[in-house]
Amino acid sequence: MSNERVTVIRFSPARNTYEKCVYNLPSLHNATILQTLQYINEELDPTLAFRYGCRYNHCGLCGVMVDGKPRLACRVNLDGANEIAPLANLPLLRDLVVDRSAYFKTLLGLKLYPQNINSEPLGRLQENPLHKNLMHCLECLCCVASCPKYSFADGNVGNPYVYVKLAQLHLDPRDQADRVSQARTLEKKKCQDCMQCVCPNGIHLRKALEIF
Amino acid sequence: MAAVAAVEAGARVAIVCKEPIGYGNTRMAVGLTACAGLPGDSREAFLDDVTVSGEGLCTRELVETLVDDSRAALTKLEEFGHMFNRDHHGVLSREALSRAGGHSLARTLSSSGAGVGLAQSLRAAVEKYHLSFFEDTLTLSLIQTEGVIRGISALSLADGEEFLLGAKAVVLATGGGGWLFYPQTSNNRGTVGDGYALAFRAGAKLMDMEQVQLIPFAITHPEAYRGLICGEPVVAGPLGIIYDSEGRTVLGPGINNLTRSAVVRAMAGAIREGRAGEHGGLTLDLRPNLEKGPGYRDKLRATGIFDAVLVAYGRKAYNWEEPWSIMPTVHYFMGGIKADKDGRTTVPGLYAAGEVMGGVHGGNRLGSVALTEVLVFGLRAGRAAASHAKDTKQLLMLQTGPVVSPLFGKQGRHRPLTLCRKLQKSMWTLAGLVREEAQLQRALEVIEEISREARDVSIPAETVYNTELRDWVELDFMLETARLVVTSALLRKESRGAHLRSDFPDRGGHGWERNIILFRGENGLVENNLEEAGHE
Repeated sequence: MSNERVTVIRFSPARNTYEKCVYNLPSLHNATILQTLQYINEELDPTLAFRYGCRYNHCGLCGVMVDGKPRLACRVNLDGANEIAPLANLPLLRDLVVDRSAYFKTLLGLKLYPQNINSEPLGRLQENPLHKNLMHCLECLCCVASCPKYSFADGNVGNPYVYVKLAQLHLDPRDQADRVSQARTLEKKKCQDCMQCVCPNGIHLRKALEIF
Repeated sequence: MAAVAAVEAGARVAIVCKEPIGYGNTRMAVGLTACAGLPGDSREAFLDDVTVSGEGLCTRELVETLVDDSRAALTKLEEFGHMFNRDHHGVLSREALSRAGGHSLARTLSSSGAGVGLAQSLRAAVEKYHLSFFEDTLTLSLIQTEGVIRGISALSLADGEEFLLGAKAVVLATGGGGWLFYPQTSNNRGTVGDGYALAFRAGAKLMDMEQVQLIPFAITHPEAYRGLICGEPVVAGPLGIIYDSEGRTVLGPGINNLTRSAVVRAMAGAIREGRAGEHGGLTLDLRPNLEKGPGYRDKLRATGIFDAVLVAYGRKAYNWEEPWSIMPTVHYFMGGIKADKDGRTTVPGLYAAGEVMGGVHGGNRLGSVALTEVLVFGLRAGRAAASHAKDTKQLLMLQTGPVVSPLFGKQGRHRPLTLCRKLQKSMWTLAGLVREEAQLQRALEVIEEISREARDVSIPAETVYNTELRDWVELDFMLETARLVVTSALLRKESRGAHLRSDFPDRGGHGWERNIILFRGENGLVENNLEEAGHE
């Protein structure tokens, strides 16, 4: 670890506030943010809660804000970073743990699966190159955390992740639903002149958003 | 899959999941899925590949089911929204297929969404089929009366509430137990063997728990990525070579035609002889494959199977222009709950599907059949469980008091996480790559020691997402599963499949073509018997 102090912003459900905790770390070489959190939890503070799954870029569970930018903790090194915080804009359970269940429940009703498929499964199908890219979405929700227009607390639904899901379906030749109209009802127009969302995994957010 | 099949059969269903739905091991797969009935393949060839690879321990009926139901199961997955890759004409021709590790033919489909795409489709099915679900919820035990399943007890991590859920049938689809060997595993952090422990405690029989598959090529350093997969035999290509630390050949050209267990066996021999390098691994040199151009490399790279090489070893290694340091890593439990082709266990009302069940793969699993297995047996177990529920009268569950909630705020001498790490280290060093009587006996002692220490733990009072409490529950399952793995490893006094014994280095005769069956005896002790393999 190249720096010796890191601040972790922790959400406290009991007080419904954020608390700052500063940890002093030994110098360990090339530690990832995830290793840093594991070190804090194993050696310094057993109470720190965070999620992780696969340890490298497959599950999307370890998203956090690093110095204000959404990152996958398994993918980036601490490298001079000062502050680790929970993903912005999303409901939280505790510390760095996003309440993914509560978030995904807000999407029930969008019918995010191909509707009225009229082709043979495993039959002839041409996959759009952009669809191939969009299917790599890890659902880490970092794009949602980077969106200046979305907040779970405001009760709205439209955000970059949702538009990626709708773009996947729009580009899926099997899906017969009108995803363009659906995106527009979710106030997609807010994205015009914004496009500040980012993806840590190379999903073409801009191209997906431009569909609508 | 099981939940959808059960709903389609008319049952009322709820999914209980430790993580958000779809965030388990399936998500981490590269998405390679074997399927029967594709051009140039035959049923017999597929059956033979699975059976030969299993080294005499497969259950024939389960292998037949895996093969015969595979196409229908993959069809179902595409109905959920998953999309397998076609050729450039949009057809599932031979061009769209690959030959995964240990298969004699190309019969494996890929998908641009890989495991994440598959997991997304499964979660989409929750909405499509109006399934009820409990996420971030740990299953603590199976509730029974007179030996019959009545439901489960569970703990919601989101609020710390413990509750009972009545059910006339329960399908365990909890995956394997690779996390017992962390960091020497490719598995997800939640893969702690919950299902084995739950089933064992409910009185179910388990089989061949010693058969823990290692995948031969994993990252050795840096520590952040240790144990993560960077390939299986097919990645070695026709010309790849494995060297020891002094440059002597461990395995020469043709590694791509060997099974995972054959490659691991050769590597384990060299490592045991002290021929490993700085980070405990051997060296894989893929450069000879580039003599015929980058085509082979690029096709494999597109699957993402060696993505971890880029971050761990850098661009040149990722381009196969310099060798990699490699070490086998725990990947998959072939053994598991004994079940028939409908996932029916030896306990009425209890079903199992996927990695948690045993018998399909025997001593070694081929590449790309695990996802097929999940889909095939998920569907069958769901249908069978629904049918069982229809024919069963709902009885009131026994009221049981809270089990883990009283632990909130407990003061003790040990941390659950520290005990987990101690167990994992012991499992890898004493019961990991190569096993031997004295070390396995020592492993049992360590397991008992940690079991005692686990009664004297500190748990914070925090009720919302208390990770220490989760660690304690998972430690309890890990200890039970470790006990089963080590007991079975002691009983198999030969080397077969993934199970390597330095004190019994050869495969035993036909007399050893038996499944080691474990079950709960008096006072919770592990009892065993041997059953002739091949039959249900």
